[in-house]
This record gives sequence, C-alpha cells and structure tokens, in this order.
Amino acid sequence: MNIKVLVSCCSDYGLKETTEEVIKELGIDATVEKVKDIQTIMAYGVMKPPAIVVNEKVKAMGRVPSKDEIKKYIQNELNA
Amino acid sequence: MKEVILVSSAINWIVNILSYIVTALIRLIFGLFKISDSFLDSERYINAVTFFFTDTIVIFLMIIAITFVVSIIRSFFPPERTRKLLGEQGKARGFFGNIAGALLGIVTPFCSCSAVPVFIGFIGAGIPLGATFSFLIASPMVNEVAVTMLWALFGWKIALLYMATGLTVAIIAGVIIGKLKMEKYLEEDVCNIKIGDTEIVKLTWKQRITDAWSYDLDLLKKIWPYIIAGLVIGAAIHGWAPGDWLAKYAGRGNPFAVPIAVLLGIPLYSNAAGTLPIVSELTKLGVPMGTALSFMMAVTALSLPEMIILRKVMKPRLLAVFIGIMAVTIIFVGYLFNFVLA
Repeated sequence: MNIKVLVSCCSDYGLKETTEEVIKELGIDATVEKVKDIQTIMAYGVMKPPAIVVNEKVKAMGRVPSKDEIKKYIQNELNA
Repeated sequence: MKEVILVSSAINWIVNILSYIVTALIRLIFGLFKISDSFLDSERYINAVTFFFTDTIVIFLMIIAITFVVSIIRSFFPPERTRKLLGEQGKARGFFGNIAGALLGIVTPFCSCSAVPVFIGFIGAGIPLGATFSFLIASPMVNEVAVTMLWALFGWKIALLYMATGLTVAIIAGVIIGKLKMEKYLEEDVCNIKIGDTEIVKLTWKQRITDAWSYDLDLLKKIWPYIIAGLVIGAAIHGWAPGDWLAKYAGRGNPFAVPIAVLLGIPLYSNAAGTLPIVSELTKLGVPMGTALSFMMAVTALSLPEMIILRKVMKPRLLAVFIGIMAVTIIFVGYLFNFVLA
C-alpha cells in the first residue's frame, strides 16, 4: 500500500508521523511519503494542503484528518 | 437585520456588565494595596485599565464566535470546488466572473501558501485572469478577523461597509487587470503545471464542527499577541499622540490625506488584528474613517511576504501593475468612505 502525505510550508501537522503510527498499529505493509513539491500536489487536484493520498486516491484535502480518520481511510482501502 | 441589532445590543450589555465587574475588582485591588490617589489619578487610570480589559475580552469572544461560524460556512467552499464552479463552461466570463470571483474569495479561507496553487489552478481551469485576481484580492482582504474587530471597535455598520468596499476593490481591480490583457506577463510555470482532477471529498457535520473549532483555536494562538500589542500601542497613542499634527496632516483639512495614508501603508505590513486597534485610536483623535480604513487596507492587503509569493507566478511588470491598481482602488475607496460618512 502506498500512502502520500501532501504538505506545504504552513501545513505539516506531523501527518507523516501520525500515519506511520497508524500503519504500525494496524501491522500492515505500507510506505509513507511526504510530498512538498507543488507540482506533484497539484497533479492530484489538490490546491490547499494538507492532504492524504492512499493508493493514488485522495482521501482528505484541505484539512488535518484525525488518527482515527486516517485509520479508516487505510482500512477502507484494505477492504476494497 | 433585527438579529444583528440584537446581537450588537447583547454585546453592549455584556461589555457594560464586564466593565462594572472589572472596575469593581480594580478598585478593590487599589484599595487593598493602598495605592494613593494623588500618584495615579485613580479614576482615569481605572477607566483606562477597565476599557483595556473589557475591550480585549469582548474582541476575543467575538473572534471565537464569528470565526467558528465563518469556518463552518467555508467548509462548503473548498478552493477546488470554487475552481470547478468558476471554470465550468466559461461561467466566469466578463464582469460576472469578477463578481463571482470576489464573492467566492470571501468565503474561501486564505493561506499565503495556497495562493500560488489556487492562482495556477484557476488559470489552468480556464478562469479569466481578471476573475482570478478578483478572487485573490477579496480572499485575504475580507477575512473574519478584520470584519470581527471592525464590528467590535466600530459597530456592525462599519464592518458591513468594509466588506462591501473590499468586494468593490476586488471587483474593480480585477476588471481593470482583466481589461489590460496581461496574460503574457504570467510566469511560464503557470501555464505548464498540470492540475489533476479529483473528486472533492465530502465532509460530515462532525468533521465540519471539529475542523472549525481547531481552526478557531489555532487562529487565536497565532493572533493573540498582535491583538494585545495593537491595544497597548493604541492606548499609548491615546495618551501621547500628537493630536494637532495628526489633525493637520491626516484630518479633514488635508485633501491629500488619503493617498498619503495609503502610500505610507503599502511598505508597512501587519495583520488586521494588530492594525485595527491602532486605527481605532487614530479615528478617535480625529482622523476620518475613510482615511484610517484605507491606511489599514494598504497595510494589510499589500504585504511583502505576499508579493514574494506572487512573484512566483507573475512577472515583475504584472506584479507592479497589481500593486499599482490595488493602491489606486484603495485610495478611491478611501475618498468614497470619507464622502459617504461625512
């Protein structure tokens, strides 16, 4: 599973670290990347970071998802 | 309208009760510590301190409440949705595009970091340059902190007037920039970046409320020092300001007061939270409302950090035109305010 955390200069919020915790708790095999490049972020159709992309699908945009929400996004993708 | 007057009256009522409590407390403290009358001229001092505390408390309470409501409204207007709304089938054509851009700018939260992606995203979606500029001008200018503090310090009528003029500045400046056909002065990046198309994530009410509340707290954490600083400087101005000098150069007598105020404000940068308490003191000293507000707009709307960011998408000439047109429009609005309020 591939997870990308899209952030900008004023919106990091430790999303990568939170996502890594979730992966550990769920015990699954996944990579978490932090993306700061504006071109890549916009390629996902996101204009306002932060955002979370799971398996190339945008799950949250323009807000900071809670740990539980991140867990739900990942679990939904696992079940898909 | 009735609701607005009711809320304003409620706020007045709260201020009166708070003043009473704070004054009583201060008298108690002064009495307990036997602070002598002759040294402090206690009545005036008590009043000044009381006003400082109650002003501060009222401003903070209002910011908390209004920011919360505005954030909920804004959760329905992410910039990605605005881009779709304005970009569809040339909906943003002509004058209507500027109006729509400005209105949507007001309900979109502004972060300097998102100015570039928003700008690129709009142009890439085929939204005309003029409409994009109207959005970009309205968004930071008409923000909930500015409007709330204007309401707290000057009443709801001035707050509404500010929103109306913010919109007017955004629309007029956007129209002019659009007519100048300066698309070729955009940086190449703007036309080259591919913007993906993604489904806009739907939010639940629980998420909207949680988000609004955490945004509210974050905002408060960021701006409280500015508000306190502004109020303290304002109080200092109250005590030691050169009233005659201000009256001569910034008062009604000087027809060039507005342009001078705006030109002074352009190189200065502060946010609305820090500037408005100072502007409030200036008006009490006799500076006309239009002059004072156009100074505030010049300070807050035209900032070096924002220019540096916009330089990434605009060539210097377009950036200069942008600043120039904003300055002229703000000056025009300053005169208009003075005329309307006189």
